[in-house]
Amino acid sequence: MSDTANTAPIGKSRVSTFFHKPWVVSVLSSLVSVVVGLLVGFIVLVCINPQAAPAAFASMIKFGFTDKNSVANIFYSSAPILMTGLAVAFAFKAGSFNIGGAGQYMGGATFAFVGAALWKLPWPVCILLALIGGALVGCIPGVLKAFFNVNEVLSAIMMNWIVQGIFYMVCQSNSAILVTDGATTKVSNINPSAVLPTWGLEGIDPNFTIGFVIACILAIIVWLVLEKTNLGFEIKACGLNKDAAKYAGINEKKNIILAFTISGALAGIGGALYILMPAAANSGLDIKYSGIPSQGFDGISVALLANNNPIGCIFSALFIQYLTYSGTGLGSAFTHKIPALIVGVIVYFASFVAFVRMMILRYGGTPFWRKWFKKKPAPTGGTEAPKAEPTTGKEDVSK
Amino acid sequence: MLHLFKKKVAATETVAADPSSPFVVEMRHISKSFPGIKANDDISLELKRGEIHALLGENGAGKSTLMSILFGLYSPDEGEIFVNGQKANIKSPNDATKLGIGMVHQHFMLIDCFTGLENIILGAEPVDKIGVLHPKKVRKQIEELCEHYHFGVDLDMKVQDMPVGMQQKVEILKMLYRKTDILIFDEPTAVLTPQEIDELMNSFRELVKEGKTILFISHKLNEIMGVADRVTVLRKGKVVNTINVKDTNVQELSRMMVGRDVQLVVQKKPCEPKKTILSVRDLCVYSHAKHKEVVKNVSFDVRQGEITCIAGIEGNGQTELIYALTGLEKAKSGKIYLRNVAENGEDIQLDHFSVRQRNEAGVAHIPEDRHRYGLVLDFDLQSNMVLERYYQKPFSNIGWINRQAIHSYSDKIIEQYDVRSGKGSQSIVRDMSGGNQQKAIVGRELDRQTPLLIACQPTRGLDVGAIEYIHNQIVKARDEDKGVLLLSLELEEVMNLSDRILVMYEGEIVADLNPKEITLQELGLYMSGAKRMELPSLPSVENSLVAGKTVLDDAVAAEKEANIVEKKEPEVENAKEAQEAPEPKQEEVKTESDAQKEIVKENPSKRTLKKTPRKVTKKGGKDHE
Repeated sequence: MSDTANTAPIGKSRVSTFFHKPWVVSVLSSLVSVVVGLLVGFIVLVCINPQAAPAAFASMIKFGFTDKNSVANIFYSSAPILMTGLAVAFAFKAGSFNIGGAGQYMGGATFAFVGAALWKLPWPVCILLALIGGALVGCIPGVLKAFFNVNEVLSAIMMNWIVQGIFYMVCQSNSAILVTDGATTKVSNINPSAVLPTWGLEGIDPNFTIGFVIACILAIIVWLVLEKTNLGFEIKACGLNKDAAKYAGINEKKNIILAFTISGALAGIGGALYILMPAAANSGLDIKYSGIPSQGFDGISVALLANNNPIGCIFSALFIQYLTYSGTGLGSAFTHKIPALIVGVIVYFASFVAFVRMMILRYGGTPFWRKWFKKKPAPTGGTEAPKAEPTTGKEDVSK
Repeated sequence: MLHLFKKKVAATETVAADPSSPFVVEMRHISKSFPGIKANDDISLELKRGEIHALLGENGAGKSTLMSILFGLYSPDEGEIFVNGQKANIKSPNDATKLGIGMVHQHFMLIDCFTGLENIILGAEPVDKIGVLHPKKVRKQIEELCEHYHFGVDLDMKVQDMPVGMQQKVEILKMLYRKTDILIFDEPTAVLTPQEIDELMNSFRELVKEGKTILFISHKLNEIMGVADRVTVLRKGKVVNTINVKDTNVQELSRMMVGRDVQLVVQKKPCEPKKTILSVRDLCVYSHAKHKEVVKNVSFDVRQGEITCIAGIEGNGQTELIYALTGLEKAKSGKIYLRNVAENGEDIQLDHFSVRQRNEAGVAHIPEDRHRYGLVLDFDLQSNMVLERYYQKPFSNIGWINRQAIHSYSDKIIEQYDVRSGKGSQSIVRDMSGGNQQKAIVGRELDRQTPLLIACQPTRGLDVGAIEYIHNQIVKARDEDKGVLLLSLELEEVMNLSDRILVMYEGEIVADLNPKEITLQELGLYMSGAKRMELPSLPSVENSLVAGKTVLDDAVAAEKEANIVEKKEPEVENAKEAQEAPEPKQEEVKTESDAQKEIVKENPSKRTLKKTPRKVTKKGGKDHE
């Protein structure tokens, strides 16, 4: 593989080295996915109703920015999916696909809800309980994978339904929680101390709590752990090359379990941030036994679009929440499911991030018009002293 | 399907019948670029009808790219290909097959659970109109081919049960069955024993006699000198020269290939073995992948200042033995002891240690598969440089990674071991060349200053220049009194580099040889299981444990005795060896040594090694810092 350094490199200009910086490539590839996704969404709108499409699309784009409250809404509602996004991203870094974000989210929510509604605990304790709940749910697929080589996707999906069932059971069996059929008691009524505080943020919007701030801080902590600590080094090494990690003396079983546990804890906190949000706390929860909360799966979109970067997750969570919120702005000509479709397309393209990145690496720095007008680019792409980089492509030339 | 097959044959026959051009294949001014590099730069190559033509070059010189172009796997950016004097447009391997060009890849393209016959007819199956397969129709034809070229291929044997040499012949038969005239071989000898190589070279000569043309890729100079008519040397994507093999020599070829003079033979001082550093006793390893015991009761010692080489044909348990020594896989039973080089340190029993404990105790390991085990390819170079030590003091402080320390350490190794890359410590390892990746691993492992170095195929897939460098580093480690355990499949490396050869066959050590005293052919006989040596049983380390002395010293003393016996009196098993080997003599020496063994056994000690290793490990760890 890649025995290519012997062969003469083609020089690169300054522009090109800028385009080869990893973070630039990541951001660009995510942006490309977003643009393509919006474009495809627009095409779908045109297909459904050509006349109304441009106006509806424009109003959808604008809807998120109509007033202060809608912007605030996007911010505070994005906290739960930011947490599930972090959970998925963390697991991805460890080389596992945590599709059980929904279950861990529910686990956290159950613990937090029981803590808030039954035990009347204040909000920080509820969040801690949610952390434990999510971690417990999360570690099960991890243990199964590490010791019995059970596929984590299967076991995590099954956990989703098990936890959903437990949550339903807890709510149904306890009259203190269940008020009417299919709805729970309102947390804000029975235990106001459990509702997330606003700490001055109510000036922006009465529903704006510190939930989003907590999620952002956690995103930064996750980033620090991954980039700056031994634990992060081990987890990334396991994720990128399990065998090399084993060779280096890293206990890969321990790391799989740990990664799933931490991932679950993050998703669990997401559950608490949702349950304890004023919007949810004031209205009570809808507990019809219908389906798994979408936040768990939105986390996958968030992580993919952010290219598994914890800091990037903040932005992608905001963007996906913005699209979800904007659905109401589409107008009557279209179904409100269109934004979901656009998110789907964006995520679809986000999974092409690797491909987009390859294209950027290949053509970045060489302006496309030069490709078109000159068949052969000059051997040295720029006048400024080109750095001698061995290769850019990962093509296997020697073999 | 049948008519398709007929068409194919018809097409090749018409092409082959055109004798207007002296060259069967002409590649003119071929260029091919990949992002970042020009793999082939204006390469022209002519193949004469009925010649054996070798293509020589370092890794990354563009050999494989050129062959892939000829075989239709890549299309060239520029240049033309003429086959039998006519311009050919080869867009896919199917086009190449139609033109009578066939290729044997380095990794065979065979289906393991199919028989030889099934593999040969695959893709050109003799079927009737309603699609029923009739292998018998062509069986006779293939058997005739086998007989004609003296291929001893069992057509009904499954490929997975065949030795590698026979698999290769199935590949050749595949081409002959398709009436191929131009046969391309990509490094055909890499996986063969010396005997199999000789057979292959004879097959080459016979094929050429029949009017076939052979083009083979190699970086082994001796083979080229032995069998080829002409050789084309590539360097950095360009043709250096095409010459008749008769008019050149190994030195000149290597100079053309690398661009400078290269030492082809490792220069080293005579070996001065000292104390035993590693003792392995009755080691058994069960492979869950192969569902059988792959290492059977293996015992041996590795001494300081000596390169002990484990030789053998791939898949005879060497890899699993190394995994068991380094802790990557669990041994089923057996004991592994490592000498503690610290003063007054007690020897360390490794067999219950984790990989990390072994690392800390003083085992450095250059893994066989550098991409799978040796490196995290998507990490940068500096992270890979501390892969085993990231958690230790200068690189990490109470759980926080110290990038600064890692960076400066990495820079030091890069400079010391001449690791070249685009962005120094920050290069992503995946983008580095294979030779430099390997140098990075070698540098990392040697710099850990461990008493034992286990080097597995340290030069696999590397070019002559990098091989020379790595060999010198290993010899240097030996001269610094490290114990070196080398695993190699390259016979030249085995003969050149090692001071002592242990041959493994089917999970057992069948010979203990001195490379200076044996020939390549003899080594091949041991490797293929045709011959074996009765080895004296080594003294048990535990039984020789005496208070006040370190364990391995006694083992050494006893072993020396054992060695004397072994050297003077190799016990003979098969008749062939009996003729060559000296007559058994000196019965007394044997009895003497036996007596000594008994004395040793009579001094048992109640101390066991198992109680101390953790303490010892800590000491070892501090030593490295």
